[in-house]
Formats: sequence, structure tokens, C-alpha cells
Amino acid sequence: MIKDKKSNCMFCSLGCGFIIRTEDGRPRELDYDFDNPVNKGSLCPRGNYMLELLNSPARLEGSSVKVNGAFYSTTFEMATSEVAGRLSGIMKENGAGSIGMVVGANLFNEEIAFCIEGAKSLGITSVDVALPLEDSVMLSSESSGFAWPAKRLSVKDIEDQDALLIVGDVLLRSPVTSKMINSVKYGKRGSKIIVVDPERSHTSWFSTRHLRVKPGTEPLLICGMIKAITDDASGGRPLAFRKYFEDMDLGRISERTGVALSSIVSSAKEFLSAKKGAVLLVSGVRDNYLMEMANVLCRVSGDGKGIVPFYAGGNSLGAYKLRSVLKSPRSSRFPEIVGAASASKIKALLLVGVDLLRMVPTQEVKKALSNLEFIAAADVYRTSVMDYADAIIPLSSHLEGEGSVVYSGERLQGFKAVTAPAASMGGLTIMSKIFSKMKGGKGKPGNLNPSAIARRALSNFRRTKKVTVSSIVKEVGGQKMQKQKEFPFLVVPKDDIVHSADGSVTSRHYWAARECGIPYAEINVEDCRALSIADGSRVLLKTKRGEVILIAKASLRWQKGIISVPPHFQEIREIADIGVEEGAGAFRFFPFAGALEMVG
Amino acid sequence: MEKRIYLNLDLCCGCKSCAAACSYPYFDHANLSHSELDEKADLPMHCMHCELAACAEACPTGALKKEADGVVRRGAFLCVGCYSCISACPFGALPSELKYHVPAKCDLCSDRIAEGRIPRCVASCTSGALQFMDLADAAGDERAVWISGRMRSVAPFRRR
Repeated sequence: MIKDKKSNCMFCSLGCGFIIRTEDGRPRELDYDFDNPVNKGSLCPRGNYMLELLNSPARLEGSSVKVNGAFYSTTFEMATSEVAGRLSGIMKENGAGSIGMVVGANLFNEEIAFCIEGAKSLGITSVDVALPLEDSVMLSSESSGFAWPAKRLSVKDIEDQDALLIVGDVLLRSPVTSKMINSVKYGKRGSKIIVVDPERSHTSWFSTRHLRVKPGTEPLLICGMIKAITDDASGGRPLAFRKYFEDMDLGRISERTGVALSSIVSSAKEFLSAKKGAVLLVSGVRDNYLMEMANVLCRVSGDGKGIVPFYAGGNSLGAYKLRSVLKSPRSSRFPEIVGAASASKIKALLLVGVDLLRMVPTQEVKKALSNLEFIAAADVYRTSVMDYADAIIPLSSHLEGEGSVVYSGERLQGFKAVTAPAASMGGLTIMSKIFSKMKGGKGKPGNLNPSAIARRALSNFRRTKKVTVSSIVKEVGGQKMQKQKEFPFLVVPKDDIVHSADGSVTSRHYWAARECGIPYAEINVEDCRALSIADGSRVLLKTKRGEVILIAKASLRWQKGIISVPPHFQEIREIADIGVEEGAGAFRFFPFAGALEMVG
Repeated sequence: MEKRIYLNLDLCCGCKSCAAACSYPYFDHANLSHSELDEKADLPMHCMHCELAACAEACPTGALKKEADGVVRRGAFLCVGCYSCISACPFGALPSELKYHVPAKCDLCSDRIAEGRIPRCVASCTSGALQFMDLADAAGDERAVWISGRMRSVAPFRRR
């Protein structure tokens, strides 16, 4: 029996739809869903490989438990009993504070909600969601509450706009937006596409105006645009925000951002005069207060202009909302859990759908992994962190389960299983087994209903972080990029089109691994010439945290003094500057300084 | 009327979705090439199924033939992997790597067309640059510059 089953992609927050053609319940072919209003059939390279998520030979086939340093295959029942037994034992000896749990952000809302609530019902407070490093900064802005919030547009509104202000490379993060951008660009007369990006990216090719800012100064540029609008008293625009930007100097902003003053003023005028406009924000490395500034820009530019954020993780937005509501403000956050584990305060760690080592390969995490007495990991593939694990359980992919996800534009999407999981188990099944065994086999802890919890938590999410325009103006104005003599290059983590987030899933896709399997560095052509680096040769990138050999790509995309590296490789993440974003209580990237040297 | 794949160079955003869509069912080897022109424009080179196919002319064994339905197909049995077709194609549409000793030749997704669907690269295209249509329908914008009857652009390679 041939059946067409619909599902959605989780490799970015656009959430494109597709059809999986199944024969007798087994997935056979990927087909394109032209009726889907978001992508109208199109898929990006990552989405095209969706079937590999189901039939990759790298998928975990069964549970295993480590005995005397070697892994032995075992049944699901025995593995969950082992995990529950060890966790209960450690909890009895050291208290509930000695157990930590980290849940991946790319799971369903129901799975995330159940993990947090189930752990809480057992007294475990060190439970958190691992927000992707690419998204954490912009996600923390999702909590910012203004007295005058700007509209949150849906993805389908993009093609109706007259002006788009795109901050970041949206055609790389979510290539399917290309149709929407093209219909704005070619579908109307006089439409404006303003791209704010230090890189001469593919998105900037489609712009009517490319504001080539210095990396990290995007929020400051938006400030400049707001000032240009509020300074201009003509047109009777509501100028309630004017006083906050009075002390800013457009000349200094132009100097700090590296964008000509006339360009800042003209872009502001273009965005203001458009009847309908949207700000597309692509999450990345330099987003502090970017969303807040975009919010103010929309407010001063007239009614109806709004924001659409694009995240690297499919359910980053849902995960963030759930954890904001379900976690108590005093409970440990992900970086604190890692810190406590490395200090041996947490003695056992349970990881669900997160490759902790590949995602955050810092010294602290490595110390934590060696110090921990017991580590249990459940994931779709055999991940790097599983080398340290004591118990491994295969997790089902999102195509094999039921649940919901919150995509860009606050779109709640429900999922139905495309095929039954073969050798893996759904997140809910695994966790309810472990939790119930920890309570002595009395069923789901506290009779928790995952869908009800998730639904209630998502509807209870409020933007409660008080932000005042004056405070963010002060913060944005003060941000500076640091460079050192020893490390003269500014290194910016920048995605590759065939990979997603930390690459733990996309690096298993055969074609993606061939297209982008070796870490590279994009270096300005003139810098290459000055250092005698040939295109395609090997270079050594040295940073404060270590060094890595990369393939050099001579490019005109970046300005002199800037290098970009793809963050989908563990070797690159190891030398990257991974810090903590205090507002979100999550890990994040910072642009960092590096030096280049020729290697043979 | 025969349908062919037409490319609008103004719309292509260089996402390689066409290559990925083609790769998955064809043993992870796309039947089309892709190149970037000096970081100024993207050129996905898909097979044009030319009226007078240079690859078919060049093939010494007769493995590559322009068939009755207009599609230039490579039969695997007669192909000896001599690279003649790859060298002959004026568009460079055949990727230069052999896969299992035969060149990756686009067959216009014949399996899908037989069912009334469109080729995978066209279906997957994120920008609408690739279109599957008759020549009569393809002629649209008078300002467009037509290149080799299969690609069009209002201002070829004008982007920076």
C-alpha cells in the first residue's frame, strides 16, 4: 500500500513541509509538498536529505551499557533499568542535587516539557534545555517586554511586504525564503531590500542596498537608523522615542559600524516610507539587543511593520518558551549544570538528544565528562559524547513520533509519525520508563500529561523581562569589538549551506559530508596575498584556546582582517570563544581573535 | 509538446538545493553541476537535453542517445566511462566525477515524469529559478537575454 505522509523539517526554524511516500509502512521516497503555504514544495539541501535521517547506517540500532570499559548490547528494558538504578543509587547517597539532566532543543515540545516536569517531580532541579549556541542570544531577547511591542509577523507575510530589512544571511540560514524575497524584489515596483551583513553574502546579492557593517555592530547600525528617523521632524511621525537617541552621534555610529552616513540615513528613509515592511533577523554571533532595536525601529517606522526571527534550531523557539515557563528562576541553567558537573557536585548526567561534547567542546565540559560517575545518553546517532557514556539508548527522530514544534513567526506545527520507529524509542517512551523505574515502577511521575503541560506552558509564555529604551541604547552604544596584536584577525563563526547548527546530524548525511567535510577558513584575497597563502592550501589558525589546521578559501566575501569559519565541526568549536550569555543562561559564541600561519 | 528545464539566472540564490535533491535518489551523486562565477553569480548547470546533443554525438559506444521523447539518456550497459560526454558538453552539465564508472547523466527524472510529477531539482528549487515548461510558455519577459535557449536573465551577471 503506497501512502503519502506529510511532515516538516527541523533543520531551521522555517519548518518546510514535505511528503514521505511510504510503501507498506516503510519510507521509500521524498516528494515535494506544493500545497504547503510556507515552502510551496521547495526544500533546501538539508531538507532534501530528510530520508537519510531514517535510513542512515549510522543510526543507533539498540541500547548498550558499558561494563568494565567495554560496551555491551542490551535490551531497552535492561538499559533503562540500569540507568534508573544507577541514578536512584547516586541520588540516595548524595541527594537529588547530584543528578543533572540536559535535554536537546530540537525535540518536540511534549518531550521537552515532559523531561523538565518529570525531573522536577523526582526532586531534580538541575534540568535544562541545551539551546543552540547560534540561537541563544537572540532567544534571550524573546523575553524582552516593551511597553510598545512591535508586531510579530508570520513567515507568510514576508512576500506581501514592500521593504525588507534583513540582518544576517537569511538565504543561507533558510534558503527557502528565496521565493518570498524574490516575490518582494521582482514582484513589485520600488520594493526595497536592505541587507545588513559584514559579508558579501548571497543575500546581499539580492539587496537593493547592502550595508556592510563591521562584525558585531549590527544593533548599533539599527540604532543609527532609528536616530535618522527620529531626528527628522517632518511628516508628523510620533516621536516618542526621540529623546532616547538624542545623545547619539550619527557620525560616530557611521565610524563604528563602517557604513557611510548617507547610507544609514537613506536606508532609514526607505524603510520608513515603505507602506509595509518586515525586519528579518537571522540569529548568529552578535545579537545582543538586536531584536530589541529592531522592535524600536518597527515602532518608529509606522504601523504594521514587524519582525520575523530565523533560528538555527527547528524548535529553538518552542524549547526556549517552555523552559522559560517551566523552570523556576532559581534552578540551575545549562552552563551551571556543566560547572557543577566539572566540580563534581553533580555526579550523574542524563543527556537526551544533545551531543554535549560536539556542541560545547570546552575544557570545562571535558573535565565534567571525565569527572562524572555516570552518564546516560539517548540520541539518534552515536554522538561524540557517547564515548564517555555508561549507557546508550537509541532515540527516535522527529519523523517517527508525534508532537509539536514552534517555528518562526510563532507557528505551532503538529507532527504525526511518518513511520514506526524500528529499533529506537521516542523521547517520551524512554524518559517515562526511566522516571517510572526511578519511582519504583508506579507509572508516569505524578500522572503527567506531556501535551497538556506543553500546551499550557506555551500559552503562558510572556515577555516579562523589563527593557527600557534608554537602557538598551546605553548597552548597544557601548559594545566594542576587541582585537589583539598577537591575534590580528577577527574570526567569525559563519554557517555553511549544507550543515545545520553543530553538525551532529548533518555531518552524517553522505552528500553534505562530501560537499563540506573538511573544515575551512574563508580569508580575504588580499590577506591571502600578504601572507602568501594559496587558495586551497592548508593554514594554521591560532587562537588563545588552541590551534587548528584548516583549508584556506581565498574570498572577496569578507573584508580585510576578518576570517570566517563554519561552526559545524568540533575542531573549530574547540578553538572558538564559547562563553555564557547571562540573560538566557545559555552558552553562546563570541567573535574571537586569531592568527594565521602557512602550513606545508 | 516537450518540456525542458529552464533556468532564470536572476533568481538563483546558490543554495545547491537542486544538487542535493538530485543526489539523494542517485547514489549521492548529483546529475548536475554547480559553479560560482567569481563570487558574483551562481550557475547551476543542469542538462539542457539539447536538440543536437553534443554528448550523444561524442559517445563512441552509443550508450548516450537522444530518445524519442527528447530526453538524452545514458544506458549503463554500453557505457565504458570514457569521459567523452563530459568533455563534449558545452555547458559542463555532466559532473566531472564518474560514479560507479559511469557519468552522472540527467534523465529528466523520467520516473517522476511518467507519473505526472516534475523533476526533483525543479520541485526543490528554493527560489523558483528552475522551471519545467514548454518552450512556448518559457518565452516571457522581452527584456530577458536568452542564453542557449535554456537560460534567461534580465541583466546577466549584473550582481556584484
